[in-house]
Amino acid sequence: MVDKNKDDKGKYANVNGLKMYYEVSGMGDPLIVLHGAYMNIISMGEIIPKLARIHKVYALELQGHGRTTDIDRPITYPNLADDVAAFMNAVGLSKADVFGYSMGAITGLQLAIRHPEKVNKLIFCSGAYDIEGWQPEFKNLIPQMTVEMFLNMPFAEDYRKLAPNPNGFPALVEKLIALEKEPMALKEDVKKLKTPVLIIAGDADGATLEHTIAMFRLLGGGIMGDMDNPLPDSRLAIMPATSHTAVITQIDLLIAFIEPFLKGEMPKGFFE
Amino acid sequence: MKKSNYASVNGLKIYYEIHGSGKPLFLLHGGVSAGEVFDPLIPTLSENRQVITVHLQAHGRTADIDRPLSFEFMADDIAALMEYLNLESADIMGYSLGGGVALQIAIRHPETVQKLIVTSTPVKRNGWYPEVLEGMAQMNPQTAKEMKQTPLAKLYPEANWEVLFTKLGNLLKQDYNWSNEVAMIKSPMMMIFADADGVRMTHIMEFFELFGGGQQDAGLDGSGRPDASLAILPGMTHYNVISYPPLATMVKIFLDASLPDVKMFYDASLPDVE
Repeated sequence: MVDKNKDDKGKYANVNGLKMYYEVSGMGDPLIVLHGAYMNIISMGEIIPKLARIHKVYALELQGHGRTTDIDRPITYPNLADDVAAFMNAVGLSKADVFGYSMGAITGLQLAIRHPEKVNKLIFCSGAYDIEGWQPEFKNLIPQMTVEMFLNMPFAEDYRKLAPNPNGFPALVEKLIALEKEPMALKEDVKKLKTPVLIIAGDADGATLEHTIAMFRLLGGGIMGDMDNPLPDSRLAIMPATSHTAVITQIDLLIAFIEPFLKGEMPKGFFE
Repeated sequence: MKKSNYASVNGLKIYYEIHGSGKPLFLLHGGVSAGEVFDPLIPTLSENRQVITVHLQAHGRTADIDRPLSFEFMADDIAALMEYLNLESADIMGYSLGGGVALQIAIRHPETVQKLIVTSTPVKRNGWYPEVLEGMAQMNPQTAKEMKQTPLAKLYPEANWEVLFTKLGNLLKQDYNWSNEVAMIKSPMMMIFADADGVRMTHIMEFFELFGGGQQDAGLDGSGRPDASLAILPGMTHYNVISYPPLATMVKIFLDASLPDVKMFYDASLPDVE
């Protein structure tokens, strides 16, 4: 197998009929990183090397993305989540923390729902748990999406550089448009979730603030905390002046949100 | 380098400290505590600005006078202190009670406010959780006695806790709703809350909606940004929100952003803060 990645971090795992590309870096407790739609390990940017300073990071490329092959199967969140679970079995990971951004966040959520024993803590960054949670203008755009609309996006060029089949981009777009139309409705599953979740979103993100806060409430958040009451295991972080695409570029803030959550730390206050 | 002094304004001998030099930033503390609550923020914020902490009426080193404690009076005190210090305008950050004072400065003296940061503060009384309102209703000379055993009493030996608790109790008993006035504020604003704050999550959304927040994604070019920005800090409460380690940097980035970028300062590329 020709590895297009020069520094030898990259490997392939056979997962549910996919040749899944992944990179392992860093030392520490295992942390799986799942990219957003049309993204790959490279376009996730600096967050991966920063997380690898204190974690053993497993960065995956999901079906049809980056260097991972596409196969004759729709891209659905349950499929993507089952791929991550099968990947964990393939590399001998029984349980890990998971950081997912956008499509990767929802994949991580489905992983925690379908394979709860595999997820220690989940960082759910810029996602939604119900199709109704997207901003109205995005919701209105979904039925009008066509493959042509995506062919000249900057990530189309990335695709051709990395993909095993450089001509496969239109087929990927078709599958991702179908994914947007998936009738996602995970409220009851989120309510039953035992996994601690850190929700991160921009204050002007793709999901409405109301939806993000509704998710926090389903996880036991949205209550008052004080010096005597323990806080819920799940946490909510909203980044100021931040859009959906900018969330993943705010590395220092992401790390500041993520590390205390994974360590279970609570900052001390003036009165303590 | 810290300079501390008293200024005579509105019949009050108000205590203030100045840290650093440059553009002025007032930090207005919450009820009961005083300016020292901002200690975790001062080193970063005073790197390139003049940070002014103030002890509000009857708090810390500022003695009480024969006047009820009110958000409006305290706002007028800060406006008068600005004049005393020959400042035409300043950035203002307020926490809890001080956030209410900051909002009232922007309402009553809009020309004096550059950027506004409101932390853990509602725009109406029932923005607080009922438990918080109950706690406020219990502020009286009896509960003030419990203060004498606390580190705060050592920090402010001159404080009269009976008077402070009585006046705070009276202030916080009164209903208010500033939604209409707050919606008119023109200063660039950042609002900051804890994810387990004493302010109800529903009210945080209402507050943000006054500035068009929570309605849409900002888009790739940021053109869909609301007029204010919102930060919610994970794993924090009303009482420790100021101690959130990255908060000083978050505030500094907002204050340093030039005006055209102020609505999308996080979308612009950030310096590495490590």
